[in-house]
Amino acid sequence: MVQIFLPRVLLAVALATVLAACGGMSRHDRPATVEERTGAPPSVQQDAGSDVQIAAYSPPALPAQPAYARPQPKRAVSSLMKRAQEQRNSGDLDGATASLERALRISPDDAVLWHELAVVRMSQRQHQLVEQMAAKSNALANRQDVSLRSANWRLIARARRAQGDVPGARDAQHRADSLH
Amino acid sequence: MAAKKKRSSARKKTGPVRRTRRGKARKRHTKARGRWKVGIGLLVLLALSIGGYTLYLSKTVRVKFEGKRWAVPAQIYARPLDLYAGADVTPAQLKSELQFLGYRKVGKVSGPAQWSQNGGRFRVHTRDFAFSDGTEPGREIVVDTGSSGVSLIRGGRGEIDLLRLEPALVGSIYPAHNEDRVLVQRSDLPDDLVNGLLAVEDRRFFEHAGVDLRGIARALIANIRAGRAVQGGSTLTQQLVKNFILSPERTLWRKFNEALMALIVDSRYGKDEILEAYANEIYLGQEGGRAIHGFGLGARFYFNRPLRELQLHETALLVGLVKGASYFNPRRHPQRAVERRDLVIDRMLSQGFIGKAEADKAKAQKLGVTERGALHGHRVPAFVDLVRRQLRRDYREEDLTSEGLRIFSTLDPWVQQRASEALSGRLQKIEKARRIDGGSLQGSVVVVSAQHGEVQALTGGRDAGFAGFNRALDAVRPIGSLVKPAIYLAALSKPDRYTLSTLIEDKAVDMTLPGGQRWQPKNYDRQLHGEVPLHTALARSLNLATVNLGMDIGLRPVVSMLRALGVSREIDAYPSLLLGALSLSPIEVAQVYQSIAAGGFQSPLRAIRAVVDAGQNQLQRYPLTVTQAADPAAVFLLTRNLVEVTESGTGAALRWMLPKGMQLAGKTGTTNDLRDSWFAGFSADRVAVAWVGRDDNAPTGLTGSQGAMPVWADLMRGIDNMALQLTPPSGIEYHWVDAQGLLADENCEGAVAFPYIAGSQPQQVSDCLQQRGLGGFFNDLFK
Repeated sequence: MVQIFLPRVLLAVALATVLAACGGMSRHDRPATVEERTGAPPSVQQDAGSDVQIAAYSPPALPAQPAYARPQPKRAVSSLMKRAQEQRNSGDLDGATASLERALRISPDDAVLWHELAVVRMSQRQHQLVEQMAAKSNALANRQDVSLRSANWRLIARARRAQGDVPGARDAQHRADSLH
Repeated sequence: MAAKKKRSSARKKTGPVRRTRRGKARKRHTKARGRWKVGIGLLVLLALSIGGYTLYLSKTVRVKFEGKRWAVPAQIYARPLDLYAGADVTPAQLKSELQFLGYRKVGKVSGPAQWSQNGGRFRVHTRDFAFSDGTEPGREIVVDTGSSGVSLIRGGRGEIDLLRLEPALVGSIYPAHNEDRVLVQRSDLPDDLVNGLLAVEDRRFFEHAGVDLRGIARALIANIRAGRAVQGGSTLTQQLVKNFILSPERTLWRKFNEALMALIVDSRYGKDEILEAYANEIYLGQEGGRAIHGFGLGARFYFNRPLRELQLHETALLVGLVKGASYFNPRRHPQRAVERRDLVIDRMLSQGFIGKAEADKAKAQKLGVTERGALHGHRVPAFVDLVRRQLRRDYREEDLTSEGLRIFSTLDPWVQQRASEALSGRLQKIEKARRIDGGSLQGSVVVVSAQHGEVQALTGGRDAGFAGFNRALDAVRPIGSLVKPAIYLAALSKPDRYTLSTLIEDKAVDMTLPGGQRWQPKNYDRQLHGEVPLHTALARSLNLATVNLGMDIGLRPVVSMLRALGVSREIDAYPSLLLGALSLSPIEVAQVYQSIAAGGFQSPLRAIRAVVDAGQNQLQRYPLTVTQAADPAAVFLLTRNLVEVTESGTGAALRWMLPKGMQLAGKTGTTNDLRDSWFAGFSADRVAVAWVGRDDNAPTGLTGSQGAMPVWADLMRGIDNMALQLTPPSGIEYHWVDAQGLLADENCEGAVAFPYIAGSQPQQVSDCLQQRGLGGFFNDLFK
C-alpha cells in the first residue's frame, strides 16, 4: 500500500503549497439577525376596563344552544371506532388506544369514546385508568343514556374488584344495577 | 530488490579481475556500501514511518466512516392535521398548513406535494408518511372547505371519511456542537445534484483515485494565467476529508494529510459511499448557533421541501452554496446567490448534463428560498424546549441528539402562530397606547387541549423565534386572583354549606400573621360591599369576601384543592395564599385550569404523543390519562361562575373583544402594584393562559384585564373554539332564586335560575312567593 501511495503522496505534498490558498468552503458566518414578527390581528373596539366591573347579570335560565357549535364529525369518529374495534379484535391494543385517542381529539366530549377507551384499558389491565375513564364517560353521558352509564359502572366494578377493592366494587355494581 | 540481486551475481562472476585491485576497490566499495546502507536505511525508515502514518490515518478514516458517521438529531414533528367532513379547518388554515409542509401551489396538480385552489375547493396530492401507527399513503384528494370548516373530502374512490396530512417538521434536538442534519442516502440524491457537483467541484470524480492530478494541474495553470487563485483542485473526496475528519485550519501539513487521507478513503470505499458521505457532511448554512449540514437539511432549510422534490434551479443553488454558504447566502445576498446558481447551471450545460432549453428555463426562475419567518426550523424554540425537557426524563441526551429519533409532538402550528402573533402584536399596541417603553413588556402564552391536556402552543416571550428565557416554563410569578377559583371550588364542594347563591360577607379583614405581621388586605376598588352572593364575589374578584370565605372553609382544604388541581410546587398555607401569594409558571397555571376545564378530570400536560426510532419502531407512546381531581358537579358550578366572569365580571370587556355567542369561562389575575397581569380561561376544547409582566419584575401599570386579557382574547378570536355548552352533569338541578338567595320562581322580579347540587338549593321561600301566597299557588296549579 505504501508503495502505491508514495509517489502520489509526494506529488500531493508538492502541489499542496500551490493550492493552499485555493478553493474550499468558508465557515465564518455571523449569526443571522432575528427579525421580529409583527402580527396584525383585527383591531379591538375597546380595551379592558378596570378589574372591578359591575354589571347586572342574568344568566340564561337553561343552557342555550350556542351559535358556535360545529357540526358533529360523525363519519370520521365512527370510522375510527370501527378501526379501533378491528385493532382490538386482532390483539393490537396499543393501536386501538391510539385510534380512540385520535377520535377523542376530534370529538373530545363523546361519552361513548371515553367508554370504549376504558374497555380497551380493561383488556390491558390498567385498572386505575379504567375507573377514571369510565367516570369521565359518566360525567359526559347524557342522563337518559342509562345503558351507557350502567356499562360504565360495571366496568368500574370490575376494575375495583381486580384491584381488591371489594366494597367499592359492590357499590359500583349496585349503581350499575339500579340504573336498569 | 531485483536490481540488487543482479548486481551481486555480477560481482561473483567478475571475482578474479577485482581481486587484483583489491585494496583500492575494497576501500571504495566499503564507502559505497556504507552510503547505500544509510540510503536504504533512511528509505526504509521513511517508508516505514509513512507506512505507519498511513496505517494510523487509515484507522482514523475507518473509525470515522464505519463507526456512527453522523449524529442524527431527533426530529420533532407537529401534530398531523386530521381532515374530515366537519373538521374546523378553514381555507386560510388549510393553506397555511400546506405551506408549513412545503407543498407547492400549482395551476394543475400533477404529483406529490402539490396543491391548487379554486375558491373553497382545494386539490391536494399528499405525500406518503409513515406514522407510528401505520403509513398514510400519498394520494390526490379534493377538499371542500369554507368559513365553517370542511364540508366534503373526496379521493379517487369517492368520499373519504378521514385522512391525516403528514405532520410538519418543527425542529430538531441537535447536539452541543450545533450540527443539525437530515440524513439522506445515495439513492435519495437526485441526478441533477450529483451532476451539478461534478460540473463545478470535481469533474473526474468517478475516474480519479481521491486526488485528481489532472485537476490540480488544470487549476494550477488557470491560477497562474489569472495571476490569482481562481480554481481549486480539491476533489469531493478531499473536501469530504477536510470537513469530516480534519480540523479547519489551513496548513501545509493539513493539506498533506488531506491528500493522503483522500487516497485512503478512495481506495477503501466506493464512489457512491463517498458521495453519500459528502452529501450529508457538507456545510450549507447557519441559523444563529445552528449549523446546517448536508443536502437533506439544506433542502429543508432553504426550500422547506425534501431533496428529491427540488427542481433544477433549486438543486443548482444548493450545489452553488458548497463554495461558500455564507458568501452566497441566498437570504442575505440574493444577487450573489443567483449568479452562483446560474454559473452552476452553465457549467452543467457546457458539460452536457443538461440541455440549453432546460438551462434557460432554470435560469429564468426566481431563487425560490422560503422566508426565514416560515415556521419550520427554529421558530418554536420554547415548544422544542418543553419537548426536550419532557424527553430528558426518559432518554439520554446523546440518544436524543444522535439516534435519529422521530418525536411526534402535540404542537398545533396554526394555534402556535396565532399565539405568538397575539402576544407580540398586543404588547406592542399596549405599549403604544399607554406610552410604555417599547419592548419593556414581556409575556407568555400557553394553549392546551381542554379534555386531553395536550400542549398545542407555547410562547416563551414576545419574540417567538428567540430561543432565550422560556417564560412559559421558567417565569414563576405570583398568580394573584387566578388562585380564587380553587377557593370557590373548595367551597362549592361542600354543598351543605355553600352554593352559588350563598351570601358571603365582603367586610374588612385585619389579622396578625404567624410572623407577627399585620395583614389588612383591600378590595381593588377599596370599597366594602357587605353581603354578596358567592357567585358575585368571584365574578367581581372581591378580595375581602374571598378571604372571609377562605378563612371560613380553612386553608387546608384550599391547599388540598390546589394540589388536586395539579399544583406540584410547595404551597405555604398562609392567609395571603387566598389572594394569590403563590408563584407558578404559565404552564403550571395551564394545568390547574385544564383540570377545571375538563370538568374536574385532570390530564397531565403532554407535549409528546409518541417516539419512534430510526427503524420505524415505536419506542414509546405517551397516552391520554385522566384522574378525577374534583367533583364534576362542583366543577360545573364553578365553570358556570367563570362564564359569569367573562360576561359581567372582571372579564366583561371580552364582550367587545370576541364574537357574539362565543361562550367562554375565565379569570383575571393581578398582583401587587400591578406587577403581573394574568388571564386564564377556556372554551369547551381549549385552555389558554396569558401572562404579561416585566423581566425585572417592575410594575407594568396593567391589571389582568388590561394586559393579559386582551392578549388572550386576540388569541381566542384567531383560533377555532368549541363554545362551552354548560351541559349539567348528573346531580345538578336548576332552581329559581331571588337576589337575596331565597327560593322564587320565574315570575318573581329579578329571579334567576341557578344550578345547584341536588338538595343544596335554598329552602327558605322568598317574599315574592309568600305574598302571592295560596292564590299564587292555585294560579300556578290551574295554569
